[in-house]
Amino acid sequence: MEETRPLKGRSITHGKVTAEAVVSKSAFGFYGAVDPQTGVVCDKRHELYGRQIAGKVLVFPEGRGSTGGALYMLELARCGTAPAAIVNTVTEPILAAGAILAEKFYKTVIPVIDNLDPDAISELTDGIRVTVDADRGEVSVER
Amino acid sequence: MYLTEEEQKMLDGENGPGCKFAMEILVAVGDAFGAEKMVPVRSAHTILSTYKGILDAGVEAIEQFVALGAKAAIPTTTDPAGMDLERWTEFRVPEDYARKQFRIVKAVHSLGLIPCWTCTPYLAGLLPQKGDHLAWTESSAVVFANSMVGAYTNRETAVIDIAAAVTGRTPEHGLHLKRNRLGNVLIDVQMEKMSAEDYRIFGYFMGKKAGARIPVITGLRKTDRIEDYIAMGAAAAASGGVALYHIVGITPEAGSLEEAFGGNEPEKRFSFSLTEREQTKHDMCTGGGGDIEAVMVGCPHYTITDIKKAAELLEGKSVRKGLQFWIYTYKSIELLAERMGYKSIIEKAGAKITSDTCMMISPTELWRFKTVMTDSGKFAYYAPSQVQADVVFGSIEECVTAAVEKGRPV
Repeated sequence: MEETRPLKGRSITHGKVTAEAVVSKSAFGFYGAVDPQTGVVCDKRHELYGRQIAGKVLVFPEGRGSTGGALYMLELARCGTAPAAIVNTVTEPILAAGAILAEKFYKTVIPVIDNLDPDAISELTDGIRVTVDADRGEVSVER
Repeated sequence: MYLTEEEQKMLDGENGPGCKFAMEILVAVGDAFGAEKMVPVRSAHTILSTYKGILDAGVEAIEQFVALGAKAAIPTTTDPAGMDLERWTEFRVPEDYARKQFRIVKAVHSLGLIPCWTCTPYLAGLLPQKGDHLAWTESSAVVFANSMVGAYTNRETAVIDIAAAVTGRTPEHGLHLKRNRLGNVLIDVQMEKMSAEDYRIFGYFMGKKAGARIPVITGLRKTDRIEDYIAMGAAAAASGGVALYHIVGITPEAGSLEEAFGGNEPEKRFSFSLTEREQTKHDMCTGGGGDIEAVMVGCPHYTITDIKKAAELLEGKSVRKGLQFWIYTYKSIELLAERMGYKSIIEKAGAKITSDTCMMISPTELWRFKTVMTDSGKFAYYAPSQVQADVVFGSIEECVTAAVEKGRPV
């Protein structure tokens, strides 16, 4: 399978994973937005409502919402329903803490890459397979 | 990131596995944010205190610190618990929920935290000084410590707050650095006078306009009631994520407009007059026109002055049948209210004082209220998501009127 030139970003955590992308055009916060038992987005006001994010590469422009978001990510890790990786343009402390804590407490490595150029992030379309390599700060799309 | 010899020893495990685990978390977080070093913190305040907010993962996380033998190295206070720890059955808290909450209580004691169970730790025994570095969670306490005291703290995240408590350190970034504490938006207050309610409305307005930026406020006269600043900041922290504001001529880092902005020009300018006040009060209410089923006040926790006021308004009146009137505070204030006779006046009127918790972080949604009323700008913001109810915002006077008279008030 041919891959295009990787998109460059900043690594917030580490690890490498390939999975299907679930893409949101609007900001995303974990607090109260995902059912930890199923990994399905349960915030009715969000465009990803009803979508499965467990094991997917979650792509969104930036984080939003309460500081409780970190514990929600931790709960997803505990229940085995966390996303496989996260790609965005700006990672706030809540999201970084959530990913770091998921590894410390539940050995769940969630590669997180941010600082992706907004143009670059538009190359990541819903449903495509994406490799997120947080050891190198690279995101590549399978064509 | 750079670590001192002492911090390196913590990371190497010389202070025990709990301290090592905590330091590993802090180093990972510091690296993620490009912090150059750690900063010693005088105190911590944790929100790993309520089962409703932290879920099973939070319970397991705090117990993990206990299992590793961790102890708080600095004074560390607790945010409200997820229920009234003595009278929880009265508030219909399910038993399995209560069991989880008591696991948190046990862990809090094992870690050596100060179990004041309040969102106002600066009143309950841990007042910081200007320039102190802190690791606090609880957005309303963070904004108070930064703005009114001039202490330095970020809005820490749950679990990170415990890691800071155990090590006495937090990564140096954000509001720990003087250069990040300068104002960037200007809000000019154009009000003849400000009632207690106006401060809360203004706080909500400030948050909506400033977002997560740092507002500098002019034209706001000094109030004698510290409660006004507490409630104002809490509303701004909820509606917009404000962690620090400056009031020119009043707060410690704003002796002048130049000092508050550090010589920079404001990115944006807003004014707050009667017009904005009316619009904001309207925006704070989601009420669909139904009868008010519960009045919930004490967000942030009521002070003894707030309770005195409520008691005076409720004296000789009776809350209408079927309506709940709950006043939230912390234990030592409830005791004072009892000693001063306010508690019996309040109870005689059919209202309740409840301690150690609040309406948002206890399972009040289980009461399935359709419409609730509050005098809190913060709770007005969170009621739809946290209690799944419509909300009416008003002054404490309006809350009491609504509770004792028939039909829909305001």
